[in-house]
Amino acid sequence: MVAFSHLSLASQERDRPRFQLLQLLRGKGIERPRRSTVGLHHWQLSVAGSIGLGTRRAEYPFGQVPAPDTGDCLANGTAGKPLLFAATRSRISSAVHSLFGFCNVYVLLMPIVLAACNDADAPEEQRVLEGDAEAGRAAIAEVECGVCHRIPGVAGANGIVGPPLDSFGRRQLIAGVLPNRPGVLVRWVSDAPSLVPNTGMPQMPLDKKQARDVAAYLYTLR
Amino acid sequence: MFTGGALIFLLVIGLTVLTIILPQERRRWLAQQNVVIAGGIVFPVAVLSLLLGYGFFVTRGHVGAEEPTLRIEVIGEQWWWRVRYLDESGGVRFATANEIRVPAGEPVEFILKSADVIHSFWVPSLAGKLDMVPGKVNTYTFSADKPGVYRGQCAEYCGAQHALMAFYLVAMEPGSFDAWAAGQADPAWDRVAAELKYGRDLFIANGCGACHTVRGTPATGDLGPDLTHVGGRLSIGAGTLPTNIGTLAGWISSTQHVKPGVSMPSFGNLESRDLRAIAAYLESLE
Repeated sequence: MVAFSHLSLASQERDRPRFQLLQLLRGKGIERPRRSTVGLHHWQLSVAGSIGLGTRRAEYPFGQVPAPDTGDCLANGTAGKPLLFAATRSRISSAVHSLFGFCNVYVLLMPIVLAACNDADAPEEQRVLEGDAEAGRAAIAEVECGVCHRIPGVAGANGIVGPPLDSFGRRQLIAGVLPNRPGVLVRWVSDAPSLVPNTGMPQMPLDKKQARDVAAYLYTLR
Repeated sequence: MFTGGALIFLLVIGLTVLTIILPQERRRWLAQQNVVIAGGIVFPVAVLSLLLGYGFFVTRGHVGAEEPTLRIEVIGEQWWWRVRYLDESGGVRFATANEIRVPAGEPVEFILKSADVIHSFWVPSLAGKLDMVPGKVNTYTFSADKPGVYRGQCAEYCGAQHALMAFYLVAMEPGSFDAWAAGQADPAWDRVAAELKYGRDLFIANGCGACHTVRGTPATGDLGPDLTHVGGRLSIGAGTLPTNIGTLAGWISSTQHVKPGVSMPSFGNLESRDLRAIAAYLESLE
């Protein structure tokens, strides 16, 4: 990024596909500005070389995008899953096609094919039986989980006592101890000390339905 | 009232229109001295004087009404409310904070003071605001006609956390109010459960009692809110958060993050279990 800063925006855009490809092959991180004059480049592609290709993350500001159809290895992708590889979405991809041509699409698709078969690190969206995510968000606001946690989508939830819950749906361990599975999480949000006795998180005043709702909401954070 | 106002409005507008559309010689009468004195001085003085008398008549019930059945001293501090219920002789019956409970339908006299800067006592649904001025005592009598929870808010900018200086006024049925008041006057219950005893001991050991009082324990501090029955209040931090064990723990651990600038430091030094135990103890103080 720094090395390219002397180039004009136009030439950066022109050079981007090749640049990305090189960086991908070298396993280096790429950070692009989330906003640019073209307006289409609200994406961020980061590749952490030390962890490998599996940590690739592309974020699109277009909301939830259906999972791409990339064959059996992504069969567990759930509809409405926030999107890893939105370049395949027709609206975006046609724009990408027209603006950047084949080369760029190829570069964007390549990680899909690779990552789709290596999704151990990106669990499918977990569903909580009878959990209502919207009701969960309301319950989170009501009991003020945000005093201790930063929680996307909940007003004022900017606590610093416990861990931030961004991307909680992709978190592998709860409290760094327990596997992040719906059954565990439902119990955790209402009665954490019974699972991890030395946690700082107290029993919360949530009934069973509310606990399921809260867990459902947390799994939407991806 | 509305009709009268509408007629005056139309009269003024009509005269304005006339001055615009009439030829000069036909609107000259408007500039005569008698017309100006009658329309500009006599008419407004008469109308406004009548309205003033009518206003006094309508609001007569609000001024120096009945004898209050209850007197509550409320002291504004940065940024919370110290509340003292007074007995007949003016002595303090019990102290609480950030929540005022009153019997519905009975006139209550609020004795308003400030400990530091100018605050303003305001329960918008019940009465207008009245300043709390350092060195001065203002009194204000009003009643809540219906049982319910009414939010109050400091209405005079008083520093960084002015916006988080709120309280709840809870109007109760007179019978349940008496029971509540009797409970508030009692010291904190002696805890039986082991975790709560542990929490109480930690509360004392960590020096919380230097600023807070929990009647019935060695905690007798007077700088911060009386916590004898804090678990029974609707909010902590002066309307900042609802009261539950989680908000109590979060508040204790990160006070300066939740409400920067308050006198209480963040007790981030507490271990996880100790933090939970203290929060559980405070929550149990109903």
